[in-house]
Formats: sequence, structure tokens, C-alpha cells
Amino acid sequence: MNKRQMQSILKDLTEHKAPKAEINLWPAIESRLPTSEMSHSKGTMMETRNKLVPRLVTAIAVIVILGGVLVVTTPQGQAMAQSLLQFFTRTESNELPLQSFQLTPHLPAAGTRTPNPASIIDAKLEITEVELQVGYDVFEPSWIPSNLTFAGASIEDPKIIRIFYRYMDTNGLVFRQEPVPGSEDCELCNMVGPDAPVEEVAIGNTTGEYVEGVWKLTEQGPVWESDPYLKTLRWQMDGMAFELLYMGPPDTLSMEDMATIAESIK
Amino acid sequence: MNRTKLLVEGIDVMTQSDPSEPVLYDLASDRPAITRLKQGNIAGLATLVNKYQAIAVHTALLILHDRNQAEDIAQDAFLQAYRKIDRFDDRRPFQPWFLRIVINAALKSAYRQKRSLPLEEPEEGHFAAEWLIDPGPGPETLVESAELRESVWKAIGGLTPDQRATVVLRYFLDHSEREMIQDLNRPLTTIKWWLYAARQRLRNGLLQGSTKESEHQEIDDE
Repeated sequence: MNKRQMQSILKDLTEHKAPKAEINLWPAIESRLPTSEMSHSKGTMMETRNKLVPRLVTAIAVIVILGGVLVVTTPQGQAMAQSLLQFFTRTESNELPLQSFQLTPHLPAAGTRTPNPASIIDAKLEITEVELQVGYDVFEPSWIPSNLTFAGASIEDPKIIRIFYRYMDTNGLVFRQEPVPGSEDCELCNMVGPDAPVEEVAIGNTTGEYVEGVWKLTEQGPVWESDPYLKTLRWQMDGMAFELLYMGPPDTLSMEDMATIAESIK
Repeated sequence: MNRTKLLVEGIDVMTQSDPSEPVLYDLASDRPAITRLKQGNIAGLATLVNKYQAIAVHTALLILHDRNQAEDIAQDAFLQAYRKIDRFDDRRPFQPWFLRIVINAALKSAYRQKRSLPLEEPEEGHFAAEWLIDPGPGPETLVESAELRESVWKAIGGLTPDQRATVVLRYFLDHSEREMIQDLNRPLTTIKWWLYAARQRLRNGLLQGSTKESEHQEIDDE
């Protein structure tokens, strides 16, 4: 028996004893990830949390908070009005000053928790329930890739509606819609670094803008970082402003997929 | 390049092209996931788990001989890799670094249990041994044989954890002896000895039940 034959036997043996198709360690590993370790050792990143549900929550919530605080309270906010794209705004630098909310983060009292409509955890409504509450037909995609499953919807403010789709346990897609003009509570969602490649994407008869990246919250302040794991597509149609925000492995949802989802919205 | 051949008392156990030849790894495909993980993005870990979970479990399984324990060890190894990722040099391949964690954890676990299965006499040992001696039948048909599979499984179970680890590294993961020095943190002489002993015990395990006597010479691995 030569080495290759032995290798073949061992591979056959292990496959027989523990078939690859039956091995799925991720749920157990994910449940064992320490929730505090990553943020402690790596700093805070909008797109990176230990579990996805918290990750999506954090990402969206921080985007909202950061957007509000940054634009409303800092001179850089006004300066960012420069270099305006259609749906995104370029900042002058990839690095922004340390934000006040980073110094004094809001921590909920122990045992209490305010529902956050930007959180997938609190997105418990069905679409029909959302429509009943807002009093009009909610737009939703008629096509979603098979690897995404509906997780729930939420209402905020009460114009902003978010519909959440989960990818496996750890990532997901958020479809956000609100009447134009949009609210000013999430301006950083519009902002991208000076070098961020913003691409125009055809969506039916209109054009949207697509970017990959995220504001990473470092101890020195937000830093724009191109990141294929966080994709955003924005466009407007029929008096509504739409956003698709996807967090997940790049090959699980492409820009073309997002454009197809956008085109399918009714 | 010299093709070396090892005959252990007649059984051409394993032929290798070059003991020092390293396995080639695809550096580029893991880099994005590792970068993500170093940035604190667990999606990077999920990608690595998806890619390496099977080989991790199979590697641990061969050392521990128990699937549940193997899965536990693989989980632990991924968590350890997650904690140590800052120390990982991403100019180097991820797989050997990660499997080193798996193997060391599996070895520790095996020694903790002092678990070395008794060398059972395989019912199909004669059949397996014949095939090992006679290179005529191709592996394509025999490799799927449940009898052969179980014979090899039992024979591996008769090895000590160290010996199992050397078999796994050399013949399952295709590591060179040079790599095995790093994998097991042992000098070459120890590696060679473990390999030799493992082959001997494998041969004995597979030959049990067989009346065949070896008349063949032994040739050094080098």
C-alpha cells in the first residue's frame, strides 16, 4: 500500500465515521463565543458582534446613533455636505474625531431594555401588522434569495419601516423604507469615506447607489473602512426612500442580487 | 528527487515522493476571512469553520476514536483560534496552524483519558493484510470495503495517541516530516521513531489473524 492509498483509506474511513454533510459546528461555536471579549479586545465595530442578532442590532443602532450625533453636533457634519452624491455623502477624511457618544456610551440599566425598532430582536411584526399600524401598503420584495428568510418587521418614528431577513444565524439583510424627504436621524448611514467606490446601480427606471464599507468605531474616532461584508444599496422611487443593508459573507449576496431584490419591490 | 519506499517487514506501507516536500496551501482564499476575524468580525470565523470543520473533526476523530469527543475538540480548537488570531501571521497558511491546535488538543484529551484501545484482532485482518501486501488490487474498489475500513479503524485504535497523531499527520494530512517537527514539537528522530512504531503496530494489527509470515526486508524511510 502506498501513501496515497493509505490516505484514500483514511479519508474514506473518516467520512464514513463522521460524514462531512453531518458536521455543523457553527451553532455550538457561536453559542460559546464570549459576548464581551471581542468588543473588549478589538474595539467596537459596527459590523462585528459576537452573535448576529446582537451584531445586526448593534450595527444598525450604532449607525443610527452615530449618524444623529455626528451630523447634528459636530462641525464635520456640516463639512460633510460637500461631495454630495445622490444618496451618499463623501466625507473629507476616512478618519473622524472621537465622538461624544463614544466617550459616554449609553448603557441601559440592568434588567431593563427599551425596544429598539432598528433591532432584529424587536422586529416581531408581520408585514400585515405593520400595514395596519401605518395605514398604507408597505413595499416589500417579491423576490428574496433562498438563503434569506423573513425574520420580522418593525416601525420607527412612525415613518421608518424595517423588514429583516436572516442569513443563517449570524447575518442578514435589512430593507428600510420611509417617505421622501427622509428623516435626519441617520445621516451617517449616508456618509462614506472619500475613497469609497460608490457604484451606480440600475433599478428599473431609476438609479440607485451601492457601496461596500462601514464606519469602524476606534478609540480615536470613526474610521471609514471598505468592507465587502457590509453592503448598502440606496435608491428612491414613488416618493419613498429605500435602503437595503446586507451584512454577511460577500459571496452570499452580490450587488446584482441586491439590485434584483430592489427591482422586485412592490 | 528520490522516490523513497518503505517496506516494513514486507508491507510496502506508504510511499512518498519526498519526505521533506511541504504540502501546498491556498493562502489567498483564507486571507479575507482571517482579515475579517482579526478585525473582530465573527463572520470571518464562520467562514473558517465552514471550510475547516470537516478536516478538523476527522483529524481529531482519528486521534480520539470518538466522534463526539472529536467534535468537541474541533469546537474548542476554533474557539482557541479565535482567541489567538492576533498572533497568527497571515502570510502563512491557516490550515497547518489551525490543525496544530486541533492535534495538540486531541492529544491532550487522549492522554487525559489514557485511552488507548486494545489491539483487537480484526476479523477481516487477513483480508486487509493480504491487500496490503499485494499491491495488485487497486484501492478504488477496496477502499470502499467496509471490512477494510473497519480493519484500519481497529488497527489505528491500537496505536498510542502519539502514534495516531503521526499517522494522521503523515498519511491523512500529508505533512512532511519537517512539518511534523513543528506540528508535534519534537525532534526529527522522535518523529521518525513514532512513525516507525506506528507502521509496525498498524502492520501487526492488520496482519493479526493472518498466517502469512513476513519475509521482506525493511528499508529506511529516507
